[in-house]
Amino acid sequence: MTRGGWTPGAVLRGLAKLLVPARLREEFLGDLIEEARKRGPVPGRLWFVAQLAVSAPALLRYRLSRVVHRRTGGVVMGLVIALVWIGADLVLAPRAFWVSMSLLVVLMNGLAAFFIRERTPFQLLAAVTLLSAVEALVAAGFFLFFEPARVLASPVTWTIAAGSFLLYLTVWLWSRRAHPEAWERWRQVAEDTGVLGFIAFRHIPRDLDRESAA
Amino acid sequence: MGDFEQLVMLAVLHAGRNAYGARIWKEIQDRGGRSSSMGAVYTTLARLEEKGYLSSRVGEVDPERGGRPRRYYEVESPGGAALREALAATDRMRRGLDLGLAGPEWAGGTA
Repeated sequence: MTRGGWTPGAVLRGLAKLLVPARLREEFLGDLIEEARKRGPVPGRLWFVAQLAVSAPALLRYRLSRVVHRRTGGVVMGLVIALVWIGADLVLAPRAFWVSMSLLVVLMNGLAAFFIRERTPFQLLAAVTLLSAVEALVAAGFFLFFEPARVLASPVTWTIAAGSFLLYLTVWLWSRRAHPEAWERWRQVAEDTGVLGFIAFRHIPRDLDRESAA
Repeated sequence: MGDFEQLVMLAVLHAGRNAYGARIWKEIQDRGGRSSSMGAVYTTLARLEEKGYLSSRVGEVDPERGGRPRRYYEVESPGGAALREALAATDRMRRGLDLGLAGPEWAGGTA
């Protein structure tokens, strides 16, 4: 066997890895090997390849359905909300700053949903995206009607900022209680990549985690 | 519960303590007379497990299988109840009907 070459065995292994979900892969290949061996060397190999080929549609369908349910669903939901949000941003205050904020938050939510292999709490994704949208829209509205300096000096701005902070905090704390596993993975992704620090973790004091660890 | 899911559940029951993928696939072929891919059986088993109708455990590693283990399946009580209900529904629908399916015009169909 040539090292790194395209041998039939390597191609089949690659194909099996692509088609069969990791959880079932070893048992599925074991069953194929066991049945193929009963048929003798050459017919067995042919049977193995044929069985993998006829199994491909069902396996692909299954893999795709898992992807749609567990990963892409979150990204799609984030994008739909984002489209409405960016559209509203553009109508209310055509400022590149706010649109880029929207895109950034959506990207972060989408990336998190994509990387978390467990069932993603979509309600959480929607809630955070929606809250971010409300926050951005309110801010964009203020900047449309008032001078930026007055907006920043206004107690209303800071009341809204404090309100949104409390809302984020509530949603994220709820999610930690309701979906502890997803929360852990989400946090891991955030720590590994830093992508989520922007939208949520800046709001959550570090000592909360220390308390829960204790 | 779908038609193929019913077949898989029945095959698991027939195979008893030895209900692993290839055995279930053969039960469906031999008893059910239905040709299917092993991939279709495996994905159906995975779906039934996700629904809580089946449970599985990984068995011992076997050198005959390239050092890979078998995964054994067992019917759980929600699965048994769902299967019973699905079979009963078919029976209820069939009851009192003279289907007249014995004629030669129905022969050879695989449905």
